[in-house]
Amino acid sequence: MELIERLKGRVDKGEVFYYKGTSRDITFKGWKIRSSESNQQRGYGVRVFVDGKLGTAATTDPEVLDKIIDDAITAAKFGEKLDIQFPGPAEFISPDIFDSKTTNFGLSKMAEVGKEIMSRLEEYRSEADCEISLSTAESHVKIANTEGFQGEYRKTGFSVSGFLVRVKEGDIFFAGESWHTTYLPKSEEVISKIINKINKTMKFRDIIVPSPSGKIPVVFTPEGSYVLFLPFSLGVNGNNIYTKTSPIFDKLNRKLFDEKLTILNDGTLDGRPGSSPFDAEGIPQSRFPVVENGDLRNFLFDLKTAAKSGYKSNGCARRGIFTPPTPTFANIIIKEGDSSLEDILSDIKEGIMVEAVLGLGQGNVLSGAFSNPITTGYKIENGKIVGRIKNSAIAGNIYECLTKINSISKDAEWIRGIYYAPYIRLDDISVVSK
Amino acid sequence: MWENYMERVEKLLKDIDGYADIRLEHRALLTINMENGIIENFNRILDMGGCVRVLLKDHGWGIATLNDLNNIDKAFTDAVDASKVLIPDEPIKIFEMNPLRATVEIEIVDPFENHSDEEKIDLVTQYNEIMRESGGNPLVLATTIYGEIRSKKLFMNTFGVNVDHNYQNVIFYASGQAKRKDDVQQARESISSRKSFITLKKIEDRVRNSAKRAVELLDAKSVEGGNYTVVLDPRLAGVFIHEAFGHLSEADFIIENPQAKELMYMGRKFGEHFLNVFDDGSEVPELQGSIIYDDEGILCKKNYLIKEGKLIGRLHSLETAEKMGEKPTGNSRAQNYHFAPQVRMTNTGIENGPHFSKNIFDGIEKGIYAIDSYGGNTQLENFSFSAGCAYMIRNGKIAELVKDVVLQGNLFETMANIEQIGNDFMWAEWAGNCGKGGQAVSVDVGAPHIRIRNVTIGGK
Repeated sequence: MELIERLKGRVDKGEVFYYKGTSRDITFKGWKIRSSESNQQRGYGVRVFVDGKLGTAATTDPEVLDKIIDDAITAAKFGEKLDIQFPGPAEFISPDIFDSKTTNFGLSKMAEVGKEIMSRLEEYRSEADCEISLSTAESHVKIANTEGFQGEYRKTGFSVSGFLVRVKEGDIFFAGESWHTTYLPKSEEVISKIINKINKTMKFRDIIVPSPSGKIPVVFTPEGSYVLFLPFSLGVNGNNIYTKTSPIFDKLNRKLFDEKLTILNDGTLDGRPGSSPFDAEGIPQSRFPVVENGDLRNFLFDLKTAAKSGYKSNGCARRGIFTPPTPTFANIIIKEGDSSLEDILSDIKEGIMVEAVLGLGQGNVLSGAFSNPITTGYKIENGKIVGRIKNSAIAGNIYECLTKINSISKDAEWIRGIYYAPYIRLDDISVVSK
Repeated sequence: MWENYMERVEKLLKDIDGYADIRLEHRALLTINMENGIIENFNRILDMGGCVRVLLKDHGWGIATLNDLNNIDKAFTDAVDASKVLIPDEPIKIFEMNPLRATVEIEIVDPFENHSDEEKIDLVTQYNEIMRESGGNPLVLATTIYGEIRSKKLFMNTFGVNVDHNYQNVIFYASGQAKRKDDVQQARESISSRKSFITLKKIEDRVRNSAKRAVELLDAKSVEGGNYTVVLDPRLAGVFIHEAFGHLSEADFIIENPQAKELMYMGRKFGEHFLNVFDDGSEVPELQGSIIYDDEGILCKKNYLIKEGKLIGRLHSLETAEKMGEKPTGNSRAQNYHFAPQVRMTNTGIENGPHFSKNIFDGIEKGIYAIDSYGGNTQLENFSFSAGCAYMIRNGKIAELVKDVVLQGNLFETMANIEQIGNDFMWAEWAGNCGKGGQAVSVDVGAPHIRIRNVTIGGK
């Protein structure tokens, strides 16, 4: 990255981020192959410090790189005075995140996989719409700074998603599943994962049962548990720590939740889309507990939020070409418990299971509050799932309701490739039904 | 700025056996983000790229996006190759257009280029001070953001359409977070203008109030969940009609879902005779949803969706219009060159009704007055919105502030339950975006006050 040379002598310190990405997608809609897209994106982001103050600029046009450097230097006139230390030269061990088979998997092969998924869903054709998309991607990231750090990595991605949607007067029903890895899996593995899940969900399409109301046991499926995780992810984000807006900014090493709960951030896993050797500022990725047996152990920091909070970066910076770094989870792991799903359900006389909700992230999420209509949910009666529910909503605050967890399952699943979660049962959750 | 490319593009378009179009875009952006008096981010972006779409005869859509405009030929080859792979069961047809050459310049009264970086910093600084002063100690975070964009866009297709599009937009956004013990409350305010920088200086009161509101919410009780008669202010009513109804009018969704087509048949009664809903991408050019020409080169107009309570229109692209035997409406929009267009709304609103907004609370024994949106989501006919803030209505009067107000329900039932539409229509004129299929486009919404019975409010 010779660009870094152009900064020397003009700034106290500086950093150049380069990203190049290519991807190919195929989309099926309405039981038909519809479109195919190839995307090419590349660009440069520059951060500089002049007189201790930060300035940034970015571009996708390599012809204006000098202009962008000037812009960043001008921006630094107005920028925030910050004492951050860019990393120096370093060696890295990279997780296994590149698979050349992924990018060599051509459009016609992707189309074949899509057609196969569609043909195995044929029995639902008359009643539901089918949407399938497949994509392969490759990215190349380079980071260099004036402190001597030079690093780069390449990552591939393979993802497939398939869902059915059945629209009836007064009722809309979704059944879907997705796959996201950095490597190319065996096609059959992907296809059967998607088909099995959709079949399992579709079984309930016509079994609608009255939904209960009140403070009742709620079992969150791995996917459904994201409702609880999302407010928490904001609570530990470095941006809300230095501003002290997080309700838990001063609760490090305190007991926050039931001791059954352990949450990890892990950017070192092979094959996972959230992994890479270092973060967007050249700090090594690692595996660390955020919550350990109910105790708050770590926040998520990049260089800036760490400096402003009086901590050290723990390698959580994520950025795009245009957007400066900000702390983000790499891959999220909610640790399994020791109960089987059957055991978890067995003593529930009347409760619900939540798989998907509407309005994730809306409202006052930072406070820990959630309040969402359930889009896919089931009724549990005497330990058994008896049907699906409609027109119900759940509400609560994670900093209250996660202090007592009834049980966590020993089985867990990867959701969207980067979120690994078990079933979680909470008792006394507020459910409102119409 | 596009002259150098036009000749080459024309040649490439000529070689296509079928339909093809290209969008080239150049964008210059500035964002200034201030937190508690400190400039947290001052970021300039220069962005350039393009998107090529090809629909070969008897094949599917092949799309290629690129940053490197020296590589337009390669993008055409990629898009052609992609199209070739796709062989749909039935051919995809699109509405045939007449040749057209147009240049769009939206009238700018006070361009942001006339104002210095220092003046823009003064703007975020002054508003930031106003917020902190008005919120006092409990306001732990005052965020003020200034944003500007200058965009130049060229659209060309195989029908001989050539539209050169230039616009600028400025936005200002304020957000306050108040905290007491473990409770965090937020309030926000924004404004946008295509016309003048100076407009941003006129919302001092609104910004002051948003900081105050965040602090007041600390003392508010959570609303009790249940079913209520609800009055929506113009902004929330606008968001409601956009989110809950507007998205179902987008024909790309309807053509994929035969069942949705059954729900959205022309003439279907949606509400009382005084309910009129429209989408308008051109008549008020300064609104940030105004695009004048869409990303398929179609001139925008005012499209009625509901007239006198009945469904009479929907929103189209070239393809959906052809498929349904209707006319394109100018609603094919992409976030930027990195995306292919989808059917999207522009500025969507409910027209004034026969009721008086000043009397709209009359006769409500116990209800909720919900103001401003704090995010909304829909899944087909199910919707969920958070109010920015809300008051109880008791015996026809506005009573105490309540928090955590989330409106939930079924679109068809809720539209039928609109019992009053006021006479104080206004556009939100905020810096709002709408997301669909991974793309965010700028939109505006407008309405008068409206009153709906039997709305489910989620709560503890």
